Amino acid sequence: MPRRVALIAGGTTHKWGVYPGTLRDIVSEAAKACFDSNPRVNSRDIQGFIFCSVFPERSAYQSHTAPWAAESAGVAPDRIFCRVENMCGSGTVGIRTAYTAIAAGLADLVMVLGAEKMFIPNRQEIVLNMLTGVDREWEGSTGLTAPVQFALAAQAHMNKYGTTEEHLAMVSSKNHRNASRNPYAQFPKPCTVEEVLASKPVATPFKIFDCSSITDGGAAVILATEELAKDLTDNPVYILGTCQAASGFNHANIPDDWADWVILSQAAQTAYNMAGIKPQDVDVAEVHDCFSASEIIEYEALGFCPQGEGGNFVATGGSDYGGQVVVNPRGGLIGCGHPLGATGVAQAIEIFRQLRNEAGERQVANAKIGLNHNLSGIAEHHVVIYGRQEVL
Amino acid sequence: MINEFNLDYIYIMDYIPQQSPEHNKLHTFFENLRAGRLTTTRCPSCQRDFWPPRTVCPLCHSNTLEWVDLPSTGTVRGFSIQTSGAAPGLTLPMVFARVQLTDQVGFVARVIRVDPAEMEVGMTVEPVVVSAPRDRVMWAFRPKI
Ligand SMILES: [Zn+2]
Repeated sequence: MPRRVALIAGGTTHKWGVYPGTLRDIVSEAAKACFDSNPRVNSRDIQGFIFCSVFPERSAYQSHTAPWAAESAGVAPDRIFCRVENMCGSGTVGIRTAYTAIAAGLADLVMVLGAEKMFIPNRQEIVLNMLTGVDREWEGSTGLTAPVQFALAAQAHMNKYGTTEEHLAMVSSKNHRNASRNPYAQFPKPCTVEEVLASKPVATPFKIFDCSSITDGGAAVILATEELAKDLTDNPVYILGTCQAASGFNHANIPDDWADWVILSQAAQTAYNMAGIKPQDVDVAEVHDCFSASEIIEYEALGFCPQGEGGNFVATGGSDYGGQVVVNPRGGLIGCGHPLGATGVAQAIEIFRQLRNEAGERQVANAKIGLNHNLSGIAEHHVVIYGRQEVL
Repeated sequence: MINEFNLDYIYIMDYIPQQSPEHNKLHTFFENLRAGRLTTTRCPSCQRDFWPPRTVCPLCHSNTLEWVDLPSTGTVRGFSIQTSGAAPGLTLPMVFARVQLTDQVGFVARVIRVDPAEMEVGMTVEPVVVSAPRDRVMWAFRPKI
């Protein structure tokens, strides 16, 4: 029987955007924010350390990064340590790695730290770095990057279900509004649907406000066994269920219909079954809005609304405060920026804060169950479902 | 900058595939492409064509695959016009499309020599060979003439 695992601490670097420091500085400050969030945790008691970062070899000229980052974080893991790299989903994969170790009994107290330094002195290299995240020889070599991949999915959804550019803009406007209440967000300024539609075109149908931005940022959480969690905090947030699924890598080989993300549906269903809940039980969700259309397709695949009705779901307020499930209360990737390896960890921190009633202006009333979805591609998804003590 | 380190070539900044027999077992793809043929690998025992080309069949793990020519035209299933954020060496706007070539082979590729306003789902495109730095070649598509 696997052991129950809980989140007991979490913190992000103060302000995402262009960070005036090194990746090492980001790691140190993320660890500090995490330890500061729970003074009952002694950093010397940390037994495991999972570092989530996508291209430190390129952006910081540093490999061998798990012990390197552990040193900067001020921890000396004596049970498990590794670096996790799963492109944009690295943070959540790191949390799943820590969960696995704790559930299996390999460690009792593990830190997961995500950090990415994306802004580098030569801006042209930023695009080259992003090309490493697709099939570089057969796709990246043609110049294909993320905006176009997700634009093709958006177009498929629009053609199949009648989703409009206004629907996409509503996602962006909602997430920017939420980000305005989030101190670390890269883009804390609200914007209207009209402003999104009028913003600079990037890759049809996306305008710049439909897209998450590259950014520098860090985030860290601490996971513990149920027993230790009860000692170290009054409000543990438990992992109720989790799953991960992928099918294909090169876009030639992923499931054919890009309007319906069946791999996400599969992963979500397994996670719901493990948690013993239904999509309608989720009060708050952090989902991967790398682009506005992604969030619409995810509403459907996560079961928040029927297939094809994601546009209508956002238009009728289903994903906003007062709706069926509040989606991306921290502002999402669109509002916060997307520091690859840190994103999934920061999403988990928002769920942690929401379920502990510590989200301030962003608080979702009486949130008991939270879902975190993080992706690394149209057909590569990572899901974790969290709950308060009372839902166990 | 490169000269400051006495280097004339930095491999990790080169996003174009290596194409010579010393560096790539799939060099035949590029030799065929240079001759104007867009090809891929077929596993004769599975009767399956794969994209991208393979050294080993992912279904039966045979390593005796054969090169086959892909059709001279493909159909656009979806497209996007990119106007921001090109990799060094590429100029905007760029058009990318999902191009379906056979029942088994379809992939995302660049469409060149096209007015972006003329792109539409269902249009027919044909492969075109483009030159790449360091005497290499790459594939793209253009509207069928
Ligand atoms: Zn075979």
